[in-house]
This record gives sequence, C-alpha cells and structure tokens, in this order.
Amino acid sequence: MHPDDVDWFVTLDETHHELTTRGNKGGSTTRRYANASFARLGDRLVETTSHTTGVYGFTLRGECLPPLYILSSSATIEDNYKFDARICETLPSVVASYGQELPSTHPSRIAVRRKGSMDTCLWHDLHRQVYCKLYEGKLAPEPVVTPKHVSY
Amino acid sequence: MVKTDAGPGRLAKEADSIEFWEEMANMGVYIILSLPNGTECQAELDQMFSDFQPKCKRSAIRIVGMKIKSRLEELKRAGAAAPPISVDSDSGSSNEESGDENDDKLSVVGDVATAARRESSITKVKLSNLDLGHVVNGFPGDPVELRPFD
Repeated sequence: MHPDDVDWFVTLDETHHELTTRGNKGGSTTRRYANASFARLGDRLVETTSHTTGVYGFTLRGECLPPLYILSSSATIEDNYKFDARICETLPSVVASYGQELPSTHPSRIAVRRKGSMDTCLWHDLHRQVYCKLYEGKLAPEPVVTPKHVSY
Repeated sequence: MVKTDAGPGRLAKEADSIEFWEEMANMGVYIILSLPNGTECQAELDQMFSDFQPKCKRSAIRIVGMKIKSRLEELKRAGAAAPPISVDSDSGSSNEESGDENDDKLSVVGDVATAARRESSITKVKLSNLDLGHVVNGFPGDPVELRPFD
C-alpha cells in the first residue's frame, strides 16, 4: 500500500465502559478497609447502573479518531436526555491530521441514548457529522490514482 | 474505507442502512464489515481493547481509592471519624450524578447505630459519568502508564 493511502483506511469498534470496581471474576478488587471492632460485613463493591459505550477508531497511519461516548439516560422522552457538561472537561482529545495539511485538535463527542448503546441513527450521524467532516475536501467518489502532489 | 464490525446501521436489513451506504459511497466512503465471530484475530480494535479495558478497570479502582482517601480526610476534618474506620453496611445500588433522594434514607427508620455507621463509612463513594474521563484517561500530569487512552 502506498504511504499516502494510510490516512484513508479507518477501523472502528465499540466497547462498553464499566464504571465499577468489580473484577473479572466478580467481587470487589478494591482494598478492604476493616476495623476489628466491627463485624466484617463484606466488601463494598462500587458500581453504577448506567451503561456507557465508547466508540473508538484509528487510521492505518495510527491516528486516533475522536472517540464517541454514548451515555445512558433514564429519561423516556428523547427531549429530556441530558448530561452534566463537566463530563466534557475530562474526556480525551486527539491531535491528528487525517490527510489534511496540518494536524488539529479534535475533542471527544458525547451522545445520550436510552440504553447507552449505538443505534442506527447515531451510527449514521457519527459518519455524517464527525468522520466525514474530518476528511472535508479530501473525499472523492472515484479513486485518486495519481494525486497531484505525487510525481513519478 | 471504513472497516467495522456488525451492529446497528451496518447490516443491510434496514432500508435506512442501504440508503446510508449509498450516500456514503457517493461521497467516496466505503463501509466494509469484518467477519462475524472472528474473535479479535481480524479485528484490530478488539486487540487494542484487550489491553485498554484492563487499564481502564485499574483506573476505576484507582479513582475509587482516591475518593475513599478524600472521604476519610473529609471525615477527619469534620471530626466525625469515630469510629475511625467502619465498614459500609449499605449494599444498595448507587445512583449517578443525578442524585437519588432516597439514597440517604435508611431501610429501618430510627436505626441510629446504622445511620451513624453509614455516615462515617469511608467506603460510601460512587463512580459516575463525571469520572468517565478519568477512568478512560487518568488525570493531567499522570505518567503515561496511568493514562489508558494516551
């Protein structure tokens, strides 16, 4: 593969982010704090009932795509979906060029869905509003066999 | 070329998806699906997740530890740390940043001993979506081994 092409190959996948101290074999993996004066009542397992999905991707060059985090909501009506904006302050950003002349910073994206997981509409919007815009001006319906800046 | 696994919007069983594929192809974006049930051998991101997820889990445990430490210091400052360390008696589920008014209500009203024990419990901490960024990528200034995303 020509090195110029590596920006245009992207792989995507989703993963579930568990906000919990539960270990792979169950039970808490946090340190146990106990006082001999009291009966030991068991480990405190810290976990949430929310479901959060992270959508990650990277190009063949190794540049990460801006991650998308899908938060769950207990609201039944879509208009009532909301999240605390302070979440945005700590989510990672990526610096990448995606085939453009200069690299730029791209923040993480957040979506809210009832179950905190991907759906058809969100998948389509993610491509239209995020990934395609990263490549603005650099997409063509026909393969570019001989890019102008390449001389043979 | 976008390589992805099967999932909502990606298979052609919905008319929307076919139209979406067509729309993308007209722009020059081709979406291809990886083989189903191929485990991680041909899914690059699954290979990455097998490293990333345990690091995020360790990050979550670290954050809970930090919260417990912070809570202990708060209790010490408030002079309410007697008994010095207690075990949390609450096994109920915790709610996220939305807050749950019932969370502080006890199942047995008037159980003062339980109330005192619970209020002084250092393990009464929660993880919420506000911790998501720290779980995924630690804190600014952390060494890279504590920043799973980086």
